[in-house]
Amino acid sequence: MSRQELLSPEGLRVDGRRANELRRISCRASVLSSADGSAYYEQGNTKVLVAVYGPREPRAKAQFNHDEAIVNVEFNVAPFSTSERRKRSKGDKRLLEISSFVKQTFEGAIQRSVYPRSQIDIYIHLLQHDGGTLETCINAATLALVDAGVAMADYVCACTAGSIDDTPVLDLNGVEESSIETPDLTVAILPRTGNIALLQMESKLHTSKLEDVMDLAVEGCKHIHKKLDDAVLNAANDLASKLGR
Amino acid sequence: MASLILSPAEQDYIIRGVESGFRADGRSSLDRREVTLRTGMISQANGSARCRIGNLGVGTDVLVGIKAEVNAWTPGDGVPESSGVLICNVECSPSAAQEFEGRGAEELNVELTQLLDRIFNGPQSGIDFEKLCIIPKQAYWVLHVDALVLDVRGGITDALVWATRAALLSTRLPRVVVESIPDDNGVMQAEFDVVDDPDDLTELDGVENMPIAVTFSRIGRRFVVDASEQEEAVAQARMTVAVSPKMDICAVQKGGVLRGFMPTLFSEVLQTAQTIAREEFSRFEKCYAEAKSQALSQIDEPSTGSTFLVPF
Amino acid sequence: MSTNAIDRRRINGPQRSVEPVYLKTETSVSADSRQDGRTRTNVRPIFMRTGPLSPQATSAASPSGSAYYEQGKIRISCAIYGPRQGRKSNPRMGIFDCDFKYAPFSCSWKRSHLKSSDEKEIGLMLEQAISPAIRLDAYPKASIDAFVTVIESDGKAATISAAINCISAALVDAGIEIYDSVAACSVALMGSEFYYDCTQEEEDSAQCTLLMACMPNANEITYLLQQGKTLPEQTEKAVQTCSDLCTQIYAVICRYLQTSVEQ
Repeated sequence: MSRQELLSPEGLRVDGRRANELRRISCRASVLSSADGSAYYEQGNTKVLVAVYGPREPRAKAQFNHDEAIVNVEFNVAPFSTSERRKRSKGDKRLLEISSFVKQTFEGAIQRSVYPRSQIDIYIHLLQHDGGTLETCINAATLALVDAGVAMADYVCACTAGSIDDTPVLDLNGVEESSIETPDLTVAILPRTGNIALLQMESKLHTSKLEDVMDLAVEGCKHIHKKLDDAVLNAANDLASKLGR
Repeated sequence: MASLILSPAEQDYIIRGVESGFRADGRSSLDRREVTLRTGMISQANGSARCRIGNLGVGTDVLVGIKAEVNAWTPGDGVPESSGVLICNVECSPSAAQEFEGRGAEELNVELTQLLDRIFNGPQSGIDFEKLCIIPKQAYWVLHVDALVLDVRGGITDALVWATRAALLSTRLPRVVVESIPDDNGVMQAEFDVVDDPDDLTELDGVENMPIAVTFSRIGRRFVVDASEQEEAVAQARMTVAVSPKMDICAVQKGGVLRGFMPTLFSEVLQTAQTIAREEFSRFEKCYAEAKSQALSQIDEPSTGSTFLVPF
Repeated sequence: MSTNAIDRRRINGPQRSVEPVYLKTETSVSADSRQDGRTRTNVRPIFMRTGPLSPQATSAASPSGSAYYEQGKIRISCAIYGPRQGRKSNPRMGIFDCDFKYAPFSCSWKRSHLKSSDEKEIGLMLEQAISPAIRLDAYPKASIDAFVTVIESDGKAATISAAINCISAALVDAGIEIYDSVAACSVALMGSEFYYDCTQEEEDSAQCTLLMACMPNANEITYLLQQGKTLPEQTEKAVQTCSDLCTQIYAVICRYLQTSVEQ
């Protein structure tokens, strides 16, 4: 099969975006009734639902930590999320990898020492998949954690960027991500300080290109931060109006 | 589901209440809770629905996605020559209860999967499976029913059946064209093409005959329908009865390990199931029509089916 | 998938095999002559023995009770372990745990030696059918485990009901305190009549099968499962029929248990 043209001569991508354009983002906090915090987040056709429980008593007493909270992440892919139905078992390596990335990211961002001897559970459901799983999971989890009122140093905003034909492109979709030549860099930052919480890359990228791609991804993170902030504000206003203020 | 621990006093309160015709949330023994239904939120699936049973926005929450695939028929795999199949799969999410983490929900998943299969897979569901056959002995449709339980507050089977019913009603299959093409030896061979046109879709046949389930919980010497989380924690036995719109009994299954049902109580259950099912069907129609109009009003939006963004 | 993970301990068949397709022989079921010569209301002959796996006082690993049960072609064996300390435990009452397994050669097609989801579900059904009969409050923190192996099966509902009867006998052999023995039976609807205790072939052609377990003396239905469509009156009638049938099977189990004690 011939290689698909990912970037047209006019500089447009397969889904009609420009190189530095994000997909459409819609999100909403407090979508589930019983969870302490929950969020629904969609970026293009990737849709994620996150429920956060805690801080609560740890389930296994053995993991219990005396000076800080433990973070537990479970990532689940709905069988109907991909264009071809596929059921993944709970021990699937790819799922474990993503949940461990999310876990490591939030272990740094959550002020865990505020909640000694407790556990914070983050349950992620991928309802529809079209590239950028890790970034959407992190953004959705941030929103859910804020909704749950868990103390965090800052929002954690994630974004992917890659490089097609030496042009840095932002926010890869499913088609771009699955092409082998496209490097795929995921960055998560704490927007206020600009500190990097997660940096992960697949495939290869020339060192001279790295900085451009990184800058683009960080720029994307800042946009996402605004979106998340709006969603939090909306949720707060919603709550305030329900209280009659 | 047994995560809820009640004190003996609380248990006694519920049991005595039910025996004298009162329930803790103010319902009578045959009252059901509110149902909220939405369809078409997963654009990549052929049909989808979300159903919540519970008052004041808190309740059992189920998401069902239906995906149709074409399978090649092989002898000996148990599929009839000229019919399609339906495969159910239920997954309880840890967001419903902490003990569902990891493999904790496996037993419950199996039980619910088989129950759903018993109700929807077979002639008793009313679905015309012969229409799901593309070419006899060659190709057929497989409908994968994948249910995700997001929240458990009692009445999980009823919510699953509601959501599956709505999802199957909203399922649209692409049209398939079957042609006869002569092969090298001049023998006519049937071949098919799936029409790739998002506007050329067909509904499933016979879906309007699908049953609805009513679950009874035995508490003390009486029973209640649509038990709440607390009531399920003290219930000694469960009985799920699936009833078709023509008032045929499509499936009966007893659950719960503590006690059984007295034969007299069972005949009462069977009678009550029919009257309740009749009410439930009209309630379902109303909810489904509402869900459909909701889904239609969103078509103008650029993002497809973002039902989760609408307050639910 | 089980086919991907090759089990080196067993002799494996070919990667892919296909069950031969047999020519269909005409089966006609009429009220007074079924394929095996029974009438509509006949139950296949029952044979049972308790204690085929005899407990040895010296070994803790041997079962505390066991039974072997035959009903027509169906052959089932069951071993009871416990009351003993279990994996799961409840401080207020005991737990009855059931492990159900079809032997790979027990059905008309080859079954996997791994547990399939329908075996897991039947295990659950058996727990739900038997637990109401056991005095679980007499065994706090303990677990009673039943291991059921189907050596030969003939009809799914009939096999499950036979398994329930087998466990009932084994529980008595193990000396577990029970309120009453559970007896089970199955019927299938063909045409407008219910046929008793159906074989696999008969169940395949039935519109509906109904499986029921009950404690005849305590007058309580401990399990009920209907698969397929009926009219409400038919279900009610079938439950009535089953409860009469269970009483008869109950008598057979009790008579056997009595004579075995006398011996």
